[in-house]
Amino acid sequence: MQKDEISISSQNPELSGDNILFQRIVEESPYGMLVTQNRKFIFANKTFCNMMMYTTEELIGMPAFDVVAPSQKDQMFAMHTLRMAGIIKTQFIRTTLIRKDGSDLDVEIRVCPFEFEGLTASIVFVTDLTEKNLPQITKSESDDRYYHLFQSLLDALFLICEDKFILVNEPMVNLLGYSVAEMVGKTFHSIIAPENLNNYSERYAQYKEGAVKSMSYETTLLHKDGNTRIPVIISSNLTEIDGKKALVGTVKDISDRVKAEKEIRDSHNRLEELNHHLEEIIEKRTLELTEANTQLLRVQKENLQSQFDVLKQQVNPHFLFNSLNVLTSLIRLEPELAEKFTEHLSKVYRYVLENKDNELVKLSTELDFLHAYIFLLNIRFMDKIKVNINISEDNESCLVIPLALQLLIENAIKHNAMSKKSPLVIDIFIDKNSFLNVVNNLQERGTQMVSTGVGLKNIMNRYRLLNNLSPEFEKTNEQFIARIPLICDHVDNS
Amino acid sequence: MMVLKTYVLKNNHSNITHKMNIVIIEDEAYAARRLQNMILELDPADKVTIGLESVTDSVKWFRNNPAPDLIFMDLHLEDDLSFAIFDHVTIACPIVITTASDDLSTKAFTLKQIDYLLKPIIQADIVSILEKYKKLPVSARSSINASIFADIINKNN
Repeated sequence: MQKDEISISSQNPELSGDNILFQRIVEESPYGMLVTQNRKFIFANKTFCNMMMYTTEELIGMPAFDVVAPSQKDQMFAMHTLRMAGIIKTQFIRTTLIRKDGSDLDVEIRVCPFEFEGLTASIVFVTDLTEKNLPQITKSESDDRYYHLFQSLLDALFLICEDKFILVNEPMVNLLGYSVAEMVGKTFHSIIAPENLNNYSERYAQYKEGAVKSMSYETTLLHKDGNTRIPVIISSNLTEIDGKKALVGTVKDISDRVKAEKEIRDSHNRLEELNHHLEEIIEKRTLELTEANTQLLRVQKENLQSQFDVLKQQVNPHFLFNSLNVLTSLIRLEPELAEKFTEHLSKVYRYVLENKDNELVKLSTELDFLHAYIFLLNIRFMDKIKVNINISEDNESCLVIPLALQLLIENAIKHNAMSKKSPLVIDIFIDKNSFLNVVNNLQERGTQMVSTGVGLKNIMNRYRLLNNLSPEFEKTNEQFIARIPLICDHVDNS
Repeated sequence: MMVLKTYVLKNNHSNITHKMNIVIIEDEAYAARRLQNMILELDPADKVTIGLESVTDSVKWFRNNPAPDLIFMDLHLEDDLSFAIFDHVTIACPIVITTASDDLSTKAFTLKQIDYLLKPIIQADIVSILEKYKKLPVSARSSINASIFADIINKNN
């Protein structure tokens, strides 16, 4: 402190009488007078020391803002910063200082910046408003308006120099939850959300290099609570304070916009999800419909096939041509046999034509037909086939579906090998359950026809239409057995 | 005109001097005998073998005898379909299928250019078939490939 006073003196080694006079005027002045530099007292006159109840020694080197009442600090600080930035020149401020004993002192101060030893300093005049009844001092209205504008702006404003906030307004500190005093002196990167720091560093480097003078970008700031993220748009301009690079800028809270955007995105996603869900349902329903349709078509086809098969079985062209072939061979070779063959063939075809529309026929009628049919087979295949019919006359008035026995014999011929050495033997009899049995020895052919089961299905379907009676088919290692229901109830009635 | 026609017929006849060795594969004895008679009535000089009623018999016969000039072959033999013969023996000889059914398989034969006769066999058909094959040089005969029949069986079961 002594040093400071000496340094003032040392500027003018030859202290003239005027200088001494000047020094006395300052010391004796009814105004408190002081000089600050780097926000510290470097000079204070007696009047100011008395006003504040400090000694000169105590004040020199003390942070200037320590004597400002806490309620006034933010404003004072902001004004100071604006002044240092050269935005305002001189100013009158009514404020409250704190004396050494803690009591308040209402004062009016006037601050004039000036350069001292190459650095900016402030000379401050202080008037005690409580003791002195001084004439009203007019304020510099433009300065006041400037400050007022700065504070009343809705947008957050900041000024940064040497990486640190030197000025922030109310909206700025409110946005982040700090007080002005807390925020001033903080580094810019300490308020950036950690996840966005990389981008910030890149941008800041561009500023430092002077590549960019102004920029506007979106980023996320961190609230004082250390957790809440605030999406913002920062617009900043490069400026200069005391020959140092500084940044002046605004911060716009875009939480609402980001929230709206998120809502739109969420809605969009929900719509897409709904759409996707709908598509899935449609696909599923389409598949179900297609399946149902396929099934319906299959059932229809089966019905048609079944009807067609019945017709086909009743008039078998294959059998006719085979018979005619035998007949043409016999005519010259065995004329008498040819005659007999023709008689039996007529009988077979007459029976087919007469009974093709009947649901049931008497067993005796069916057996008559069957004997004629077997006669034809014996001529055609000679002794390669042997059909034994063993049915007592008692059962001959029972009913069967027409051509069932013939169909089973034809089936046996189709699926089995037969030769003189090992003939196909077919036994037809009635078992103790009153089922008509058609049993053949199993000697399956080399190339097995893929059995369509048409013949057997035909018999099944025709029986199903009659009181749900069901024939049975069984294949063992040695035999194929078909059991056909006999309907004997009708016997007494007919 | 009549003279000319007679001349042409005679000329054709003079071409059919080649004595043929014919085999009939047929499981119905009467049918085999009838076909044999029909062929011999046209040219008694031909040799016509009958009595092959199964695949097994036929394979055995082909293994022990030289390839004939022509084969008439029924589809449905005692023990298997006649095509199965060619799974066991390779024969370079033309084949004529005989069948009673005029169904899908005959369409397949037409597609594969396999000759077939519908039963009961008509005399005129035998005449044209024999004329065709008596003119065919032995060198034009190729081996019968069993695979040619495989499709037909699969399609018509």
